[in-house]
Amino acid sequence: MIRSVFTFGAGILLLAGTLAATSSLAEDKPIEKPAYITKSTIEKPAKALLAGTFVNPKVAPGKVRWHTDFSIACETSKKSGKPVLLFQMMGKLDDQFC
Amino acid sequence: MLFSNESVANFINTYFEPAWEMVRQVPIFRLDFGNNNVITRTLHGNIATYVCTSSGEVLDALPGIYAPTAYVDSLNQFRLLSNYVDREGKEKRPQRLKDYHQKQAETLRKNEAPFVLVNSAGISKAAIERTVAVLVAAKDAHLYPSMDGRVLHAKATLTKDKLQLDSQEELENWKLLSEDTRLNETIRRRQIHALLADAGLVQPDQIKKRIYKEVLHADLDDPYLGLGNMLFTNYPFAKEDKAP
Repeated sequence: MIRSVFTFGAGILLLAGTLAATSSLAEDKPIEKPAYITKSTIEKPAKALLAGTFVNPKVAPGKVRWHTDFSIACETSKKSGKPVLLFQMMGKLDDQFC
Repeated sequence: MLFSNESVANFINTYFEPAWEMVRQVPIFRLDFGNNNVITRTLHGNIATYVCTSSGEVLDALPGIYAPTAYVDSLNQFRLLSNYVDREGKEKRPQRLKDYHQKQAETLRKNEAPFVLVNSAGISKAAIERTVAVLVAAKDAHLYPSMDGRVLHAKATLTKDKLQLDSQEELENWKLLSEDTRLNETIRRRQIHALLADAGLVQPDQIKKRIYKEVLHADLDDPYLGLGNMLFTNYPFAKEDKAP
C-alpha cells in the first residue's frame, strides 16, 4: 500500500510538473508559422554548386584547313585569288557539343 | 560532321580560303536521370555558310545544314559565282550580283528549279584562272561538263540507295538531313536571294542578324532564341526563375 501511495504521488507530481512547464512555454513564445520557402531559394545552392562544372570537350574542327579568322582569310584571298568561305555557327566548331 | 567528310574538306581546301566564327554560345541541354545517366544535347545549332570576296563582301549564303553531296554542289556554285559577278569588271559587280539574286528569288517563288552556274570554258580549260562562269537554266545544265569531265546535273540528288545505312538510327538521320537539305534549297534559299538582292554588297556582320532571325528563326538578340513562349507559358515557377 505504501508503494502504491508513493507511485500515485510520483505520478501526480510528474503530471503537475509537465503542465507547469507547458504553461510556461506557452506564455513566453507564441507558435510561429514557418516562412514560405520559394523554389529558387531551394535551387540556388544546387545551381551554384553545378555552375561551371560542365566542360565541353575540345575536338578537331574537321579536315578543313581553317584560317584563324575572317580577316586573315580575306588577306590570303587577295594573294591566292580564291574566294573566302565563312562558316558561322552557334557554339565553337572545335567543341564536341556545338 | 560535315567537315570531317573527305570530299567536302578537299573541295573547300582546294577552292576557298576558309574561316569559321561563333555568332553566340550554343544552348546546351543536359538531362540528368539521377542514376549516372546524363544526356547532353545542343539546341538551335543553326549555321550559315557565306561566300565572300577578298574584300569581305558577301556574294551568297547557304542557310542551315546540308547533306555532303548537296553541300559540295552548292559550294561549286559559290566558286563559279565569284567568277560570274566579275566577268564585266569589278565596277559591274554590284548590279550583276543584284540581278542574279533577283532572278533566283523569282524562279524559286514560282516553284521552278533555280538557274545554275556552269563553266563554259570546257574541260580542257577548266582551271581556276580560266573559269568562265555563265548562268543557264536548270534544264540546260546537263549540256555543260563539270571540271572532272562528268556531266554535271543541276543538283546532285541524295538517294538512299547510294548510301550504306547500317541502322534504323542512320536511316532516320538521313531522312532528317535530306528534309533539311530540301527545305534549305527551296524556302530558305528563296529568302536568302531576296534578302541579298535587297541588301546589295555587304559584310557578313551587316547581314548576320537578319539571316539568323528571318531565315533560320533564331533571333540572336533574344536571350531565349525564340523559345521563351514554349518554356515559360503555363510554367508555374516562371516568375521565380526569372528573379535575380
